[in-house]
Amino acid sequence: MIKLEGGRVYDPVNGLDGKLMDLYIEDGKLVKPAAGKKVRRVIGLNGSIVMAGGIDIHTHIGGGKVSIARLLLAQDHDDNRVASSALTRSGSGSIAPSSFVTGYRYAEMGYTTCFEPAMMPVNARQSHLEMADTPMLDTGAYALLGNDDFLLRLLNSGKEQPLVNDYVAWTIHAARAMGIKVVNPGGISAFKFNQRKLDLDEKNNYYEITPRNVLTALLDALEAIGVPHPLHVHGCNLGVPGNYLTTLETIAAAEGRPLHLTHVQFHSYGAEGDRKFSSAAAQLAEAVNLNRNVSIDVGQIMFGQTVTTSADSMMQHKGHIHAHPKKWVCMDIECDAGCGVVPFRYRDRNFVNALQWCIGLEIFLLVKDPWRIFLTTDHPNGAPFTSYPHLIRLLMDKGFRNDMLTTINKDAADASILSTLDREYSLYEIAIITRAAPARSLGLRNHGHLGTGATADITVYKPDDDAEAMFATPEYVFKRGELCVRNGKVCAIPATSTHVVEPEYDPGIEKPLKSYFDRYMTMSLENFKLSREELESYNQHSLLVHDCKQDLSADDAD
Amino acid sequence: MKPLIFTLKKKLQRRLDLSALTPDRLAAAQEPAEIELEYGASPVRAGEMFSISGEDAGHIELRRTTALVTRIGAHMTQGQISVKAHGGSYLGYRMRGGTIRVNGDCGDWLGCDMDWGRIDVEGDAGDYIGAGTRTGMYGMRDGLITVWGNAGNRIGEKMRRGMIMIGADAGDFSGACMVAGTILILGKSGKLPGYGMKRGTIILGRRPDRIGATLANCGVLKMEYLRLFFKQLSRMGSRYRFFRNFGPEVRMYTGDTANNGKGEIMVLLNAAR
Repeated sequence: MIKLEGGRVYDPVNGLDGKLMDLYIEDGKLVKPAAGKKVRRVIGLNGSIVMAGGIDIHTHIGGGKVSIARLLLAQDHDDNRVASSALTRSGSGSIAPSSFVTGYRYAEMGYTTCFEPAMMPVNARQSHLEMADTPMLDTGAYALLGNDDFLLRLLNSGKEQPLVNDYVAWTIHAARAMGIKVVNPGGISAFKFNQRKLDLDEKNNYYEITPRNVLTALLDALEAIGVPHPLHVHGCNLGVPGNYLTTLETIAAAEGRPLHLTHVQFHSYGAEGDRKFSSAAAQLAEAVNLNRNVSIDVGQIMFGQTVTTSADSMMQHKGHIHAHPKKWVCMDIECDAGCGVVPFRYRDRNFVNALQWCIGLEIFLLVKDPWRIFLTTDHPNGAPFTSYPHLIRLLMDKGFRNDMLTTINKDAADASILSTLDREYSLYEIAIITRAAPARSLGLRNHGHLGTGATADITVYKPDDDAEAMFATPEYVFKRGELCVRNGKVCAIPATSTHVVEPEYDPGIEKPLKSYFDRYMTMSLENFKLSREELESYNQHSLLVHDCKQDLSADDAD
Repeated sequence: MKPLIFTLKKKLQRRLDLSALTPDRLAAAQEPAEIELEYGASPVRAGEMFSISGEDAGHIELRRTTALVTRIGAHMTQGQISVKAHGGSYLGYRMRGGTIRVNGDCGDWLGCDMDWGRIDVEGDAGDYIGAGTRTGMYGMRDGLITVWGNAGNRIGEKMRRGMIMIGADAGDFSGACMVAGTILILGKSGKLPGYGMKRGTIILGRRPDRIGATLANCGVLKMEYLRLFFKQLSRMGSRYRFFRNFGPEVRMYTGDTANNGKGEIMVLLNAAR
């Protein structure tokens, strides 16, 4: 048994707001001290800040598009090479780092669990292999649906909802996913039929269904099969000025069903002002505050070079003219969805980029319920994940935020209401948006908190007035009870696992799928499916299967 | 002052990255032996690989290096590096100034992505001299590379500005996709020089093995500016004096028309040394 003595514990799930207490770890779990058990090691924390290990709900760390991003940013990899050590493996990159470096950097920031949001089912094997090679982190992924021809055919031919439910559940099984993400519902397919934009109620030229149909079908399906994480929605019209109306319509389209809107910063643009680009963060935050079924992650941007990777080939194709450096990739993947990779540099002197920065922060500060907003930069689309400590400081320190505001494009700073927002996040709230809330949204019962029986993923920060320094170099990070980072440096490589859910489905769905696969797909149905055994063979990964249809209403008392 | 001499004392098993041994980096370092180098994928101290003598950090001399060294003079901005043995690959990678002289041969990617500065190689060099990185938009942006021996394929690929001079023969695809700049090959050159070139000048001492069909033959011309060009070159030192004998008569090709290019390939008709 290990004893962590005298830490200030911030554990929102159990209502602990900086309570000075001891924690006990045994067999990778947090336990209650018992008389018969011997304390093997005592670690004195002297009032340091203790939180659960960080959970990133939306970060592109595996899959084909990340590999393409790495190829496009060869210069970044060349300039940032990481040598191997006795413990760690070599790697490279700072914007879309190689898998090993990604794992080390995340752990050195106190994160212990990450979720890849856009795993193509057809690419699931490669994504899982890559995430198994991302050390230090438990991983999981959301399977991408909504633009695959099988689903669109089902909807187009007016098939019954139960068939869709089975297909969705089967896909989660086959791809070993944690949930379902939909990217530009039906829009990527429409792009292949030469449509360059698709509104929520606009018909796909070929399949004659609208994004609203796709959304409704998937929302119903997820509710029926009881996957804990709500539908992860990357809506229509990403990045288009005036798109906040589409986002509000999407919220209305959910009709009270649980919905997660991802990287909403890119979906909260108005079209007012001289430059026809303005912030609609207030309207969006108001809608989120009103609709308790909606959760969001922000997708904050940070200034500097990064790369945007998305399955939304429609919008990435539109944005390719802004590529910096001037090279980009848009491709189709097995006719199932798309992939667009466009390197981009956010400039603080640029009106649009500066306003994007403001909009993200406005959303953070205007959404009242921290349990329904998660801290992300949509790594690497808004900024690399290594900018999280800086972002946390922006949220926690009003003075610092206003100082930064004076350095950006003046018109954007004047157009933004950011300077009038006085809210500062407390450590308790930071613990919610980076740990507790993502865990609850994903249905991880033993993660994201420090109660008895929870997995001992623990991060200890040394208190510092500069939140950026504090969150950049944690004093200790424990992964499943094993000390793996000391003073911001990796000191052990713990075993990791993959989070999955296994909803029930009727195996009869394989009959139409079999004929579809035989006729159209590049691989057979049997090879498409990932078995438990196969996943566990990747780097001795273990699987963590989470319950479906759990009673979420009990948790809802915040 | 005596130059700072690094003599390799170990047989290399893996690639040894010497980008840390530049005048810029050494001027900032306390103790040359403590500088960290990359050996394969792991770090190693310079003192473990080299015996070190001399004191002038502005002039570095490398001895007994083999083809496994890489990135000599990478990112350097000033000073001089003399390599008395093999220059390895990626010599002068992204250099921005200063001089590198190599007495032996060099590997591939000599002067890759360089911005400014001068590289002189006595022996032969490999492929991709003055080219850009695989995913880079452009090759060398400026500077002068002189190779007195033979060169490999694809010299000056995607080059943007500056000059490459090859004293002897060159391989295939010289100046492939070049955007601008000057390539001068005094000996034989292989197939398809100027393949896909946009602008720029390739001057060949002899007719190439094969010239692309999309390079338009413009006949024999007298390019008066070449007189000035050769005169200037002949003043660069006693070794360059033979340029005085060169005449301005050339057979001119322009293209690559397949790439809407306006580059020129000039085969010298009067280039007896």
